[in-house]
Amino acid sequence: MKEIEIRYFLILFISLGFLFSFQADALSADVLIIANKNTPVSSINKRELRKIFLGKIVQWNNGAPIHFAILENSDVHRRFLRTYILKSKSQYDNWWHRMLFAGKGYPPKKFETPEALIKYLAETDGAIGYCDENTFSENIKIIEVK
Amino acid sequence: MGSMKKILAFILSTLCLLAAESVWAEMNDVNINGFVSQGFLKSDNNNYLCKSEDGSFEFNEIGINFTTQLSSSLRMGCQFFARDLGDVGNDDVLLDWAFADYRFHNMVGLRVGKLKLTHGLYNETRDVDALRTSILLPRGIYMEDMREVFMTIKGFGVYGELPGEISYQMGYGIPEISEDSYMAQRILEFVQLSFQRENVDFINTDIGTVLETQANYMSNAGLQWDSPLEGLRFATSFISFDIDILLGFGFEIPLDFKVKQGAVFSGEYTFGDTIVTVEYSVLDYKYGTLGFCVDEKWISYYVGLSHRFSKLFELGAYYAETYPDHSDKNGDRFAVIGLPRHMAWEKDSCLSFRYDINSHWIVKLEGHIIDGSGIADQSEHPEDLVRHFSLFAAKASFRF
Repeated sequence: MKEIEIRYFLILFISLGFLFSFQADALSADVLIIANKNTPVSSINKRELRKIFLGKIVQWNNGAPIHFAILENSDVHRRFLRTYILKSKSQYDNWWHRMLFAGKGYPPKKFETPEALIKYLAETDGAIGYCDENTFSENIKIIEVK
Repeated sequence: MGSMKKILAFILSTLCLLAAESVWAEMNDVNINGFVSQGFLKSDNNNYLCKSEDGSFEFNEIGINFTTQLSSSLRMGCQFFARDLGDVGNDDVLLDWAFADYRFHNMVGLRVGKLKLTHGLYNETRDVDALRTSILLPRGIYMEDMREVFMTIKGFGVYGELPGEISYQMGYGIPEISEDSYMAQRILEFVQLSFQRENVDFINTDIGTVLETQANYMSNAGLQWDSPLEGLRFATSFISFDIDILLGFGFEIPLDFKVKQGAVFSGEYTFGDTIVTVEYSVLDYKYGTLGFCVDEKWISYYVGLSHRFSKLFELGAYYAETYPDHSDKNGDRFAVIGLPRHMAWEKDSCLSFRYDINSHWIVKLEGHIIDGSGIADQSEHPEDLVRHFSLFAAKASFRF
């Protein structure tokens, strides 16, 4: 294939790509970090929170295991990732695929609804997750993020 | 197709049909993930990675891994993998990695088995096309020649998180290298060229085989630091290994091949949907036999940029330079034996486009403008290599 043909093909490919470009991603409303009531922390800093959800740290300071959970395919998930993990959804998914294909780490528990996630947190010692402020429940506690 | 290939193909076909919309498939607390990629390579001059001048579909990968958490601290997993890239792989199914992982503490974990090596930012997942923008990683750092040795180590490793936002991992054991591996064949080519340069007349450099290989040791270490600037991280990795190779040139010639120090220094900055990456690699290697010794440094570096425009579309580019012998960037050692000077370098400009059809299917197109034949196939008629050439790559991938 001649070089000029390759260039025309690539230009066409780029042009088609731009037809489907640009997706607005609204970021608004608060995301609450929530945990099981027996979790041995009431506050956490952003970097520690990020390490938890990236699978880098797996134990609380008292040695108890950390269980972390996410809400898949939701607006609150995207807001949580942008605000606290500093990744887009595709970057976060990619991160966990890298961890799994390299044999490192175990992925988060995934839930489709906030109610299911909150039920899991309430029943699992050391579990941490998030929700938006409209779905908070008295069965779990809020973790302050410093 | 061998029986192992048939079994793997059947398993993957079944799992692809069962794959849900979620990113990972789970079955009875065993995490199962896999990928299949099929690509095409075409160059206008010089064969590159395969018989690319004629266009080649000998460019695919297939893999499946299984991971399970046996307790809060103990995890086990393994990955089977097969690839084809020109004469390399030929879809032979290998055990890619398999180990037990016990995490004593956030700061210390132990892995035992066949482990992935850390080398630069992308070595551990270099075979999984779906995890990056480009089809081909910069080959000066992620070398196809030494791929078998740079992928895994059989032994043990420790890892963990340290104060100061530092992650570390270290490993010790032996590498994998067989007589018919691509790396063994490339070492044979290095030696044949060396004999020609050194005018070793009593050896017929037109013949040569690898009779035996013996891996002696390998050590590996990696450090990563997340800087106070959000999204900016730095990493460094080191590798060292020693291999004994017995070559045949009508008579046996023992060769000691040693990588004294293979270091990669990396920086990555992520802001929004944009990632900027810079990596610099020095591979200090040495081999010798019959009273002569070659001691060279392989230098490579690149800068890359990628941006995700939408859920569907991602664009990436990188510029890479590679010098297989940093003391001879002009190719003097090739000129004295009548070979093209441009065998001493490669300068590669790459542009990549990625379409995510959905969360499982990905299609990529990529173009390379290359100056120099330093990494092109030098095994057949190197005197005919062309300095400036282009490479087109296309690939479709499925992951679950």
